[in-house]
Parts: sequence; C-alpha cells; structure tokens
Amino acid sequence: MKHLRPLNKKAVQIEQAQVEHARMEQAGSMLEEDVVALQQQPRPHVPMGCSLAFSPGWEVDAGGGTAGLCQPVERDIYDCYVTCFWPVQVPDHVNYSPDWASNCAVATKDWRNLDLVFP
Amino acid sequence: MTVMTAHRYRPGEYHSFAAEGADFIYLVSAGAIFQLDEASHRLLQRLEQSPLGHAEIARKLTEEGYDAADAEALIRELRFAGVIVPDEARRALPPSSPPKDFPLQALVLNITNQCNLACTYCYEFGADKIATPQGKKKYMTIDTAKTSVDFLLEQSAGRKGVHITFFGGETLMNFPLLKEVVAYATEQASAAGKTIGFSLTTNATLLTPEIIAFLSDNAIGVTVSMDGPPDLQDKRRVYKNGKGSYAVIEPRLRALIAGHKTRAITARVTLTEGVTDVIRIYRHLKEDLGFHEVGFAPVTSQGERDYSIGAEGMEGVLAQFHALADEWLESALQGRSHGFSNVSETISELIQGVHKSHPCGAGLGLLGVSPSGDLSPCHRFTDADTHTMGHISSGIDRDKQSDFLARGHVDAKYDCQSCWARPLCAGGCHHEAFVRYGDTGHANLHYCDWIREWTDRCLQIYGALAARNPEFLERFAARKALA
Amino acid sequence: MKILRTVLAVCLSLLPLQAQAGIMYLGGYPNVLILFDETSGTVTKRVPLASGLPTALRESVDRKKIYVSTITTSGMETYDVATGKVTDSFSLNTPTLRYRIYGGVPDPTGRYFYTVAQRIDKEIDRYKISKPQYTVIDLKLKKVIRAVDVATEDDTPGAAYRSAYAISPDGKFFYIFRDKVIVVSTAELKAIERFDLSKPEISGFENVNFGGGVEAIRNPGQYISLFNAADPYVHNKVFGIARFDLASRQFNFVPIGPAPSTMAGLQVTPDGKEGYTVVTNGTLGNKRCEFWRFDLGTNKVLDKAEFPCRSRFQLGMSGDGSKLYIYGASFDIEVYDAKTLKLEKTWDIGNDATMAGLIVSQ
Repeated sequence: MKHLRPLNKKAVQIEQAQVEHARMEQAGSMLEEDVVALQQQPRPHVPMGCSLAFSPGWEVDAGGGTAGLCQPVERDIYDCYVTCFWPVQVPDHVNYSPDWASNCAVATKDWRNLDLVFP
Repeated sequence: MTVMTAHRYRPGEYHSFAAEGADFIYLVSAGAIFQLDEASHRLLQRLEQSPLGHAEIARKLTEEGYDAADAEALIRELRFAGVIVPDEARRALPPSSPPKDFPLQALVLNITNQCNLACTYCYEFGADKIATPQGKKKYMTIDTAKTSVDFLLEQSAGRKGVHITFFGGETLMNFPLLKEVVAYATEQASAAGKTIGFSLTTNATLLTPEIIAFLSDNAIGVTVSMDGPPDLQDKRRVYKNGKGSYAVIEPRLRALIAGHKTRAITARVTLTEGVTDVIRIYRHLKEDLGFHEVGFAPVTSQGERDYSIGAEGMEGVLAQFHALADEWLESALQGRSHGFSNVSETISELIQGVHKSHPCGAGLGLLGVSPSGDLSPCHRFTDADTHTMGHISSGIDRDKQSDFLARGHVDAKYDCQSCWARPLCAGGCHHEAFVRYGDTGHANLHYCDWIREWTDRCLQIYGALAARNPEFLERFAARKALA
Repeated sequence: MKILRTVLAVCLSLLPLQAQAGIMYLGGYPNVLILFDETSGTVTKRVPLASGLPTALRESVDRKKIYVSTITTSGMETYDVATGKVTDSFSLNTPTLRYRIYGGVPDPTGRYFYTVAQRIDKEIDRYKISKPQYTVIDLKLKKVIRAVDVATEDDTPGAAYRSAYAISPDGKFFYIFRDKVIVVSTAELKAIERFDLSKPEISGFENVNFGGGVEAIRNPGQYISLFNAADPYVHNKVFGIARFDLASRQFNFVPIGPAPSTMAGLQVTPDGKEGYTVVTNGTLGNKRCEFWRFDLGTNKVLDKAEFPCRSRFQLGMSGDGSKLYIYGASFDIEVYDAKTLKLEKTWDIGNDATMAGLIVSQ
C-alpha cells in the first residue's frame, strides 16, 4: 500500500488482501463490476430488479418541477415500469411483477384496473 | 431509464490520533492501525469537512499536483481498506459470534471459597457479592478436580494447549489439592498430546518455602492480590480482626520473587477510595518489592459504597496512569520493558488487532468451576446461582451459555454501536455490568469515557513506538506469547 | 359493359396487393404486436407474444419477417408477414442466466441476429453482471452463440442501449449508432472502426426507429440519418445529414446548422427526396417541438412548423410518405399531414404503445 502504512497484524492482513485483489484484477478475474457504483459516471444497470435502482420517483421531472412530466402522467407509467424508472412507486418488472400490465392495455384510460402490488 | 444519484465518499469509522509528528488512524471495522501519509491525511481532513464525489476528489488531487493515476490509486486504496466509504454504505458488519462448539481453552478452578482475609471490598464476600455459597462445598474434592481436568481436556477438542488457573477464596488454603491436580493434569494432558499451563492468584499470606519451590518447579504463574505500601495495603486488605496483612506478606513476597524464577510474578492492585496513589503504589511494588509487573483496576462496585472511588478520585487515578504511561513509552523507546501492565496488555491487543465480539473469553473459551463442580462463565460468577452454566459431570448448559453469550455480544449493546473503542472493549466486563446494572449484557457506561481516553493514550504510545522503535513492538508481540 | 368488366377485373386483381399495403406494426402493452391499418385507421389484429413485452421491432432485409425482441423473458419472436403468424418464439433466459437486449439487427440471411447485450449470471451467492458485449443470437438454434466484450474505450454509460443498429448487405459489418458510430466485424465481434458522429439526443428512451425506418429497407446498402458532430476543442455541436454506405464503410456528412436539444431521427419519403424530423428546443417546461422538412437533394431545411408535442414521443411516417405520425407513451397516434405539417386526426390503437417503435410494411 502506498499511502497507508500497516502498523499491526490486522492492518497487514488488509494490505495482503489488497495485494491479492490487485493481482486478481491484473489477471482479469476480479470483478471490477463490484465497485461499479462508485465510478465517476455510474453505469446504469437494471439487472436483477428494480429495487436496486435509486431513482427519485415520479412526482418531479429532472428540473424539480412537473412541466417535464408526461401529461397526463399515466402516459408514462407503463414504459417506466418496464425500464425500472420509478422503482419505489411501480412494481418490479424484472423479478416479481412481469405481468402487471396484463389487466389493462391502456393505462391512461383504465388505470383503475391496475393491481396494487404489496411487496 | 434509471438515474443514478452521484455517489459521494465520506470518512469511514476510524479514530485519528497523532504521535511524534505523524498521523495515524485506528480503523474500527478491522481493529487495524495505519499510519497516514500526507496525501491520505489531507484527503481525510477534507472529507471530514464534507463528503465529496469521486470525480471531485480526483479533481482536487490533480489540482494539488498529483497525476490522475496516483489520485485514482489513492482513492481506491482508501476505499479498499474501508477508510473512506460511499454515502450509502451501511456501517461495518459487527464481528460474528464464535461458533457454538468453540473449544474450551481454560478453566478457573475455584478450589475453595474460604478465605483467611476479610478484605472489605471483596466482590466474593463483600457488600456487592453475587455468590450464594450457602449449603455448597467449601473445598473442592480431588474427584471434582479430576473430573474438571478431564472435562477441560475433552472440551478443548483440537486445541494443542490448555490452561488451568487456581482461584479461591484464598487458593493456598487448599494447596494439597493444587499439588495433586497439577500432577494429575500434567499426566492427563501429555497422554492426550496437549500441553498444559498453570497459574494461580493468591493473597500471599500462606506462602511457604515449600510452596514457593513447588510453584517454581512447575512453572506456575503467580498473581498476588495486593494494594501497595503498608498503609495502603492495610487500609482494606485486613484479617477478620481488622489487622493489616502487609507485615505478614512482605517477607513471603520477597522470598517468592527471589525463589520463583520460571514465570513472571504479577501484582494485581485494586484501587479504592483512599487507595488511589497509583504512582506510589507502583514504585513500591515494582522497585521496592521487585514484582515484574503491576496491574491496576478500580474496585468493582455498585457505585455508592464507601470504598468506591468517586469521579474526582478516578480523574486522579487516570492522571497517574498517564504519568506511568509516559514512563512506559520512555522505556519502550529505549528497548526496555516496563512493569505497568495496564499499558502492556493494551499494546499487545493492539498489535494483534483484536476485534472482539465479546469483552473476554468468559463462557466461551474460559469457564469457572466452583468447589462443588458447578460451571459458571468465569471465576467472578463462581457459586452464584444466577449464573450457573451446568456442572462438570453433566456438561455445559448450552441454553444458558447461549443466552449469556448473546447478551454479552458487542452488537447487542446499543450504547456501544457508535463507540470507536468497541473492537477492544466490546462493552466491558460481564461481572462489572452485572454488579452495576443487574445485567451482564449492559455496557459499562460508567467507564466509557475513561476507556476511550485510555485507549487513545495507548494508541498514541503505539504510534510513537511505530515511528521511533518499531522493533520493540515486534519483540513485544513475541515476548507476550511466552509470559 | 365489356370494358367495365375488364376494368373491374383489373381492379379486382389489384385488390390483394392493396390489402397488404399500409399496415403499421407496433408493440403494445401487455405483450401484443398490434397490426394497424393505415387506410381505415383501425386495429386489424393483435398478435399475442408469448415471450413477453415487445421492446424492439425490426424488419428482415427481405421484409418478409418482423423480429420482435421482448424484455420480460429476453425473448425473440419471429412474425411472418405473409401468413400473419408468429413462426418462432423463444427466450434466451434460463433460471440462472439472463440477457438484457435492446433491439438489434438481423443479418441478410435471417439466421443471425446481432446486438449489444448484457449478460447476468446467477451464481450460488451473487449475480455476476457482464460488461456490455457484442452478441450474436442464432435464430435457428435459439440461443446466444457468440459474445465478446465491448472494448473498454467504448464501454461508456449507456453503451448497452440507446443505440441504433444497421448491417452491411454482405453481413460482414455491423454498425452501432450511438454517441459515436462503431463498426464491428461480425466475424470477430471486434470494433474495427469508429467515426466521431453521434446520434442526436432524443427525448425518452426510444431509439429503435432512429432514422432508417422505411428508407433503409428500400435501400439496404445505405443508411441515412441525422447526426451530431462536435469540434474537438470547444465541443460546439452541429447537426447534419450523414449517408453511410454500409458495404464500404464510407460516409458523407453534410453539416446543416447548430444542434437543437433533441431530434427525433430522420424519416425519409419513399422517393428519397424529402426527409422529416421533429426538433425540440428547450427542456422540461420550456420544451417546444417543431417538424422540420429537409430537401435531401440539397441537404437544406425547407420548412418547419411548431406543434404541441407530448413529453415523450416517437416519430413515424406512413408507408406512402404523406403522413407523419407522432406516437408513443400512450394509446394514441397523432396523424399530421406531411405537406402542410398540420394535425389531421388522432387514432386510438386501443393499447398503450411500447417503446418498440413502428414499422410500416409495404
């Protein structure tokens, strides 16, 4: 380690673990993806489920207002369900509710038919 | 599409300290000690002001002259070790509990619960006692002792070395048993292919040349409970008739220290109200009498006893502890050992990098056996009905053991969760907690500030040694293993 | 009388051809492929998709099949235009393996499907997510047969989606249009060339019909669309029309003007003379949408008209190039006259459209 000097046995263990980690990275077998969320431009991924996405929700658009939202907002609901855009408010398409849209073909008209999903 | 929020770093859980012009951190999540270089120190100071995103940190570092690759490497190194953590990181995982079938390593055999002294503050017989010895055996029989030895060897599973400590009452009141047990245990252990060590605690009033020779020949470690120079010793360590014990023990101690060369002889001082002159006590015990090590502990009490030390008393004690710690460091820098074991013990734990799940091995690798054969978490709970954990003939009561251990786990102590000293302290002595708060799982809040202050002091000593005499630390680790 | 009967006979014989023309294919919720008749303005059929929600539509090079990628089970469905039936439907997922696919392009033989995908393996104690990979799906064997990691320099956020795809007529090169244009050799799945043209920002996630909808089919060797280019120092963005010759990897870029906030791709009329797009200026509450008409001969903007648009939409064009469609993010399609750029009518397709886009068969 270049910047931290280990001074006791535990610290030496951490240093050894880092050396091992670096060696595995070099060999290409380390999962760089393990730390994907901390890179500068986080790679957006919705792999295992929508609950892993940290998204602000659908009350506001990117500017903090509502003018940029779809009008009426139900126009957006299905596409956003499918892309895990509002993971807190909309069911998880990837893992648990792949058929949430089955009751209702047009969300704007028949949103009352949509199921409430309790996690 | 998901919008990822920008991640920021903040400092991880560590305690910073400085010594000899260098900066260090004690990393709580691991019990690891690192020395910081300038770059990491500055970065941590920045992050302590406000959390920053990865890009911002990299930018600031490059502005200061680091090239991009170095900046990246610094951030990654700190992140890997857990010194800096991302915003969303949950706190470090607590140390996991040892496995249920943790092998026994030591037994404290309470070979008698009778004592020839009547020290006023005794936790076994005094006002804060928890033991309930009525109707129980006063002296351990050889059968119970032998069964205990067999129990230890069996329960120690794959361990290569085990240990028996003899305790009491006054241990030497049952010296004949002790001799027999040492012989039996040595034989049984070697038959089982294990090594066995012994030690005992005594008030020294019953030492004879024969006993001293036996202890020396069998390399039995000795701890003497004593409180210091005559006036301080005789204040509370008295016979039933109120007479002081110093005059009786002084010649015996000299004989012991002169005659027992195979192990270190330690003095264990109990500080009480009026017996708080740490430095004076230390000088007398170490220099006048010749003990190899002296350890101090404030008396265990419910709080308001006449012998309890008040807050100002404790301040005075700590100030003197600090003075002795200075001496300890001085000696260590010159490569010499110093007998103040309150520092030595902490330093050796810091070298190991302990990260305790429980404050000690009680109920885990250590069990106490009462004269009647009842098991208890340790010697302080001997003969206490509230904490009996089985019997050597029937084995450990696993339910009681789990309950005791679950309560005593550092993670179960709410107050400890935000304390940086928890890897070393883990909430403090179970018995202290029980006497003070009625619950072995309660954190010893009355000592928290002092523990942190003391640990910080020891960390500074550690840092100073690491900077100026690192070989001492290496040798120290090895030496401790032999004591 | 005799003439009339001949005329009638001629007319009758023309009818079957006309019955095929003017069918729009759209992906709809939940799990349907919608066939919509442009002439009558009604839904003629809803084809249920067994493998889940359609998120991409692509016509085969010979226009006889439509490939539908679905997201629920990472599936591929093949729809045969002539018979009106789904001839193939399979899922790439297994209980321990998932793919994330966002469209793609079939090769000229119809055997392979090229895309960029992410692979997720469910191991015993964790999920392992791969980098985006250039992936080949064998439509006959119904599985992924080759996948190679995207080069690190190309592995920027959003690499796996928001891209449009094209393929050279000989199937040797596979083009990915995103923040730059990457040419990948299909034999090795390695990027062999990169061009510094980026597709313009579009509103929402819709990307599949990015340019090249109708036109690319007519002219399989050429890809024409709007692109952004930026100077290397100040990074001023200009937009222009680029024509790619897919076989030779040559392209010709004509810059036209400063790049607006978003542009909805280029829809080209069947005769190849005119192109249309929707430009938005401003964002969020200040958003204004305009149709722009281009003369593709002179590469100039001829005309524009503002129209009230929705926050997210996709631009389509009718099969004969006379109408422009604004659809997406709902169940309705707004029909604008391409000449006057005025709203004519609104169709209700009865299902919310997915982001799969729109294909008009001819």
